[in-house]
Amino acid sequence: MSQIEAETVRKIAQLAHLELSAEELAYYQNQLASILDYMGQLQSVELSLPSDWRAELENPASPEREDHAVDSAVIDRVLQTAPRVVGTAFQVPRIIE
Amino acid sequence: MIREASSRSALEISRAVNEGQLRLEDMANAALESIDAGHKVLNTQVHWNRAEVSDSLKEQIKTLESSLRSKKNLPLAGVPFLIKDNIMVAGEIASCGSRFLSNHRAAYDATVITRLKAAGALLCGRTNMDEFGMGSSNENSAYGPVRNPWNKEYVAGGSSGGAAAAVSAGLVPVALGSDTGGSIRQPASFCGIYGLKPTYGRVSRYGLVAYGSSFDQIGPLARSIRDLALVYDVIAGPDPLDSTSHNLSAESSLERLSAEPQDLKGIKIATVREYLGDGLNPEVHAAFQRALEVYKSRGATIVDVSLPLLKLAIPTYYILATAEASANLARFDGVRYGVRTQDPNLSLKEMYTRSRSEGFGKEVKQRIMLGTYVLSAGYYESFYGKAGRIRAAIRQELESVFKGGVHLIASPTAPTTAFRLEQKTQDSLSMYLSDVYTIVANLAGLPALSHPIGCDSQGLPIGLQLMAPMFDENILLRSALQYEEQERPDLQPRGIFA
Amino acid sequence: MKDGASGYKSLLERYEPVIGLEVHCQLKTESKLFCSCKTQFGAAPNQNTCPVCLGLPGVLPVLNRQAVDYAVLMAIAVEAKIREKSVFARKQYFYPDLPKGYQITQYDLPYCENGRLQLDSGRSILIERIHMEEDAGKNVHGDNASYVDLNRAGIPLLEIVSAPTIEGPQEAHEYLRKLRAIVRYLDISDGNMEEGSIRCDANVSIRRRGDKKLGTRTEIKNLNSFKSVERAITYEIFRQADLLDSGEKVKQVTLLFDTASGRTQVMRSKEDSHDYRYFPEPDLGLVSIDSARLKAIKAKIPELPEQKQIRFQTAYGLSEDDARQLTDEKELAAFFEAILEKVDAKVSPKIVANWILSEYLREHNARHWTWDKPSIDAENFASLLRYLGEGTISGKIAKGVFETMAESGTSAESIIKAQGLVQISDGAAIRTIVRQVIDENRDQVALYLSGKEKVLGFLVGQIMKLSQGRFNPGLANQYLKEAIDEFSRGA
Ligand SMILES: [Mg+2]
Ligand SMILES: [Zn+2]
Repeated sequence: MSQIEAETVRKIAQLAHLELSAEELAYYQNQLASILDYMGQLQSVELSLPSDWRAELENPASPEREDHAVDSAVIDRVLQTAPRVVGTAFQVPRIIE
Repeated sequence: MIREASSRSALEISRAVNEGQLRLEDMANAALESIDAGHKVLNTQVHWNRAEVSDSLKEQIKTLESSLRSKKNLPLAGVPFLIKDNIMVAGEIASCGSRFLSNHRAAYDATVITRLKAAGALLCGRTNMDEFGMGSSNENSAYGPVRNPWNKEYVAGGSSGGAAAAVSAGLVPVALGSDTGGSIRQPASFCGIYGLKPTYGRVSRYGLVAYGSSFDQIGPLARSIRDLALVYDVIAGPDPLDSTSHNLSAESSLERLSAEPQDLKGIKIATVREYLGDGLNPEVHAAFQRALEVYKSRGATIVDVSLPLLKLAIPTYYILATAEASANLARFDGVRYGVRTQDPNLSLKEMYTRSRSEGFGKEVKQRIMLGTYVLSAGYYESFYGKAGRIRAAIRQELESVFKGGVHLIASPTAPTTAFRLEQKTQDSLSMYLSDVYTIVANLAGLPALSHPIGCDSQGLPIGLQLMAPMFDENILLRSALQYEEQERPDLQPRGIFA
Repeated sequence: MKDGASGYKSLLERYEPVIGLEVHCQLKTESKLFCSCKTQFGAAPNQNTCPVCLGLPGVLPVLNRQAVDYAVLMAIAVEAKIREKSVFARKQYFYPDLPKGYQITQYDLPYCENGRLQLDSGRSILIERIHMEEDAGKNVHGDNASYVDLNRAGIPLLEIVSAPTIEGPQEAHEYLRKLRAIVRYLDISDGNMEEGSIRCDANVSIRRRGDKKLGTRTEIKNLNSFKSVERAITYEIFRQADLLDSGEKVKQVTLLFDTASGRTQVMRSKEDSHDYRYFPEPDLGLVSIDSARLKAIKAKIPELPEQKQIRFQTAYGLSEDDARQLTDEKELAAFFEAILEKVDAKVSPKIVANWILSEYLREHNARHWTWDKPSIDAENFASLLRYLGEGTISGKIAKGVFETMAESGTSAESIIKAQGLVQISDGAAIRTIVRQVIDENRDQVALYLSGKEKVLGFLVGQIMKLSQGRFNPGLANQYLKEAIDEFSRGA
């Protein structure tokens, strides 16, 4: 079975904005290793699709709507249950660039 | 009271209400009573608050009465409904089975809800589910697992486990679920009822919390094909709010059911060679073969096809669906809704990370990480890119089968019947493998239906899945109706309240 | 650090700056790119929002047709290649102003590639790509917390990416000004940098003259005025040259320009650069721009700055410089032509151009006029020039009248009449004053007669002064000469 480094799991978690305890890290390292191993069987598959082929190019055209503005009046409801609100803005911890 | 609600079909209820022979209050009370009782033993509901639902029903009845006065014959008049917890009903908590959204009240109605309301349905609450639809046993709910009405030590299946158990136990005649990799069909199969995953694009996804956006579809669960068709007719059709919804207006499949020939002469049903080997439980296999005989007896011919790429369906699905999920769940950051971590002295990034880590369950975190991994720099091509190509190839493979004159592809819905609670919770991979038959329809966007074909020796239901070409839900319903009418399978779990 | 023009010149002898600009330009649609919220500027926080642009669970995007049409206009205007089927993608990163945790943008299959924009020098800057994307909201920073306003989230943007072929800060400035002129001519954007409807990031590197290989580049973010673009790039070129001169290396970093200090500051290093995990947006189909659509949009392309400039030169005989200045802004060019239409042959296009480029623009800028609220309209301005052309008022008087018009906003006609400024061509009145000036300046007249012809100008000046500028200067001149002749014969 292929291995996935603890460091990789940590990086992925960080990218996904998740924090893992040591125990969780070990658990996911294990699970991900076996799943990725299983997923690895795709690598050996040869397909006759051309190399510049892209799945989404098979999709139909996206419908387009007319450019008319509409008031949705939903914000008050959202603010009512939002975690932290000041005035009509959402409050978050101070962003330090 | 419970017996009364459970014994009636949606069709009977709406007919009785439309004809003035059933009072809405009575129907609502009966439904409340049975849901309350059923939930206590099966844990079918989330955020169950009988008083709140009762108040809501009074309001709904008021509106409904006035529209019944002006508009005769609403197709779902007075039909009690349960809605999966990932579909928005304005003002109601929509938590997707997650702790993160445990306080999240929907600010708008999903398109399917707008349609149900206009059709006269009575919304009676929200059903339990695997968190964000990620699971096949309903054990990944922050609100506890759903128990199988046929045996309470067994799982109900997932992710629409609450909906399947509630319909099976007769709490309501019909419910809405959603299906990303089998989440309607597999629990329907485990609970011995009918479940339909419509063609991708047939039912609007607006207001369905996205798991795998290119896979998700909303669909009905019911105790009969006609009820399935009744609900399907109401929810299907184009929606300008969903760019992936198909602009084809659906005709009434219910009417067509009566108009179509009452046999299956000329219908060719394919079984898939690769499906009937390893991992398929022998009892399920035997029941499946018996069911095929029934189809034959109705005039269908059975052929055998080989679809070699289908063995890649599970890895392909889990790469693409988790990739989409990792992005879809990024909006749960604790800024605008959901539960923000209580610690006030955190930096922005810590606030995000803590809130998400506290709010998401184990499986959700795993799938987010998987999806993040397969999209991250250096891995994209060999995982996401490759899986996308295989998905297209699978689509082509299935298309060529249908082009070759096959009308339906049949398989068991799941390789086994319901398993014991906690049997598979420590091994993700074996859980993923239980989606082997259902995932294909989501990968290819095809409509698929699960219907009950009996029970195994332990008395647990077995389901059969039919898969049809794009936008041919009619042939699914028509064929399964033939089976239903001939076999009249026993759908009544016993001893729920014992 | 050496500074100033001479320092820069000597730097250029050793180093070659290589600059690429990434410009974000807000499109002027009524509603947002993927939802029907208003795009209006200035609403209270979060008032122009809906479930879609708040990123509520369960919502889906629906593409705005007008935004796509505008994007196509831009592509046509820069003669770019348009992809018939392009793809939206998700660009993932966490930030409070990004409600979904990803931005819907275009990635490897953008709708537009390979455009060009010609500079005054005749050199073309390659526009590598243009793509459509949604804007983020705004974070406002307080002392202890930040506040998120999503009114801007979802407003349609064009991201216009130049090839790294811009050679200096001034060229960058010019490129940007020309881009702005185009979007304003097309009427697809307000093109206002100060209000953020155009935003610019600059990639800057330098290499030793003669080197083939590009140097390490830095990226300067969020340049929000033309001046900042020029200053920041200049600063950055000097900074990099100083590093290389002292044997150090340029690090690949993202920088912020501080307008107060005029310096760039490191925002993040390459190591913590993002992994955006792009993948195709599954909630949208293809953006389809087929030939029929392209043809219909092409038909709507107005005359663009470059074409208009050439026409102004050939049709009106203007100099290249005047024509370029007049066509810099669409409204200015329109103003010029509106006036031209209202004057007769006595007022040449050259005169109109001069008046607009000097008098009018001076007041326009000093008084912060905008084109939708000009204090002097074309008709009023034209009437002033007509008085001038007909000789009713002199050029000097006209300038005075113009200043009064600018100040008061009243018409040329009423000012001229009220102040009695009409030019006097009455022979008797002029001759009286001529005689008076000759009498009072006998010495000067004698000088003139002795051959100092320049003195005539002084004498005419005296006459005009006494007439408060109202005499027809031609007649004054003529009568003066006649009177001096007479005087000399008489004397
Ligand atoms: Mg951008
Ligand atoms: Zn909006």
